[in-house]
Amino acid sequence: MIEMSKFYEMHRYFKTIENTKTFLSDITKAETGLFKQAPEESRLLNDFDHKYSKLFLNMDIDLSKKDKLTRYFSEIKEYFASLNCMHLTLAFSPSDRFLDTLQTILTSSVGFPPVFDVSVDPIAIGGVIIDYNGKYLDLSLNKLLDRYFMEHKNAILSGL
Amino acid sequence: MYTLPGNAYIFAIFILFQGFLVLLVLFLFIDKFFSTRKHRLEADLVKQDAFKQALKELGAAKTKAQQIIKDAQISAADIISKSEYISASTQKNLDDGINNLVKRQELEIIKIIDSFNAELKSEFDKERITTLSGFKTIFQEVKDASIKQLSSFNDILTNSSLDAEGSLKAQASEHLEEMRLRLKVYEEAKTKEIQDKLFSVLLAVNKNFFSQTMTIDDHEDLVIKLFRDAALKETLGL
Repeated sequence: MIEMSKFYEMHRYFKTIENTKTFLSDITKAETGLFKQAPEESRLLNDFDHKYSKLFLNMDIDLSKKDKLTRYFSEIKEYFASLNCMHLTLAFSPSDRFLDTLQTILTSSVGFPPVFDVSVDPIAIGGVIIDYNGKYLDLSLNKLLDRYFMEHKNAILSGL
Repeated sequence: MYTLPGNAYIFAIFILFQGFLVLLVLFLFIDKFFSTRKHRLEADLVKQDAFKQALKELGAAKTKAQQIIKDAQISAADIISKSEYISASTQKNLDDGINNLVKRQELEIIKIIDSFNAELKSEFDKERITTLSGFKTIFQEVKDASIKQLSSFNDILTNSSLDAEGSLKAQASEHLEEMRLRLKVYEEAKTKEIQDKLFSVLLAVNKNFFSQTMTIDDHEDLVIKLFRDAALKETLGL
């Protein structure tokens, strides 16, 4: 049974839901390899090992123990299927460094490094729209400018 | 030889004279009888002609009156149709009003003329008109009165038309005032629309300014600052 802290370790690698999808897809391929004959089996598992060895090493999971791999993979898939992502709408495509900073800021508050589901929408202009745990918060520049202009409408119109 | 006594001559002359007088009176009576009848026949003929002529004149007067009414009606309709500020329903109401007025006045003038006809006939029937000159006098009186009445009626029609025109002008003026009010409301709405449009443009320009001038670093710094905000974390229940 994989410990929860080890799952959170995975969040450092897979900061966005897109990353986890790729990871889960690679797990599915590796699972297929378990039921293949050599050399097909070796090739698929080697590819997976090459790509995620560091992650699994940090998680203390030995990828060479093929008898346990099916169970590990199954637990990982179940975990990500039930994962509660933080949905962010941004006006720009975020860099890894940026997402890393966000994870660091939020880890102490959330209790673990959150995984982000990022949408890019230039209409937001700037700032962020957050949808998490059933709470919605629009902190986009679009909304802020709308609010500012509406609050100061009379003053702005009188200056026209 | 038989000779008459002296008194007998005198008596015979007296008888002959009496016979002559009787014949004379008879002659005069017969003459008078035929003469009166002839005169009456002539007078009757004159009366018939005069009556016909009177009817003809009155008929012409009636036609003229109807023409005046028709002209007034056309004139009123023309005024109504040229009034741009009058709505279709108002125009119809005014049309109906003018038509009713004209119908009432038409009936009035026909009543007046018919009354003259009856009066004229009565004069003939009462034998008050026995000579051509007598008829002419009466007819002239009737004609003068008819013309006077027509003239008076014409004045009524003209005044009515003028009244109608005045009423139309008043209504047009009322509509003009209504149009002014509508225009004012329209101007206010249009000004508001323009202001709203300017406001939207200004907002769009500002949004565009931010989206064009912000670098990726600016974007990232802003979001990081927002996430560092304790209030944000509290709002999200973090």
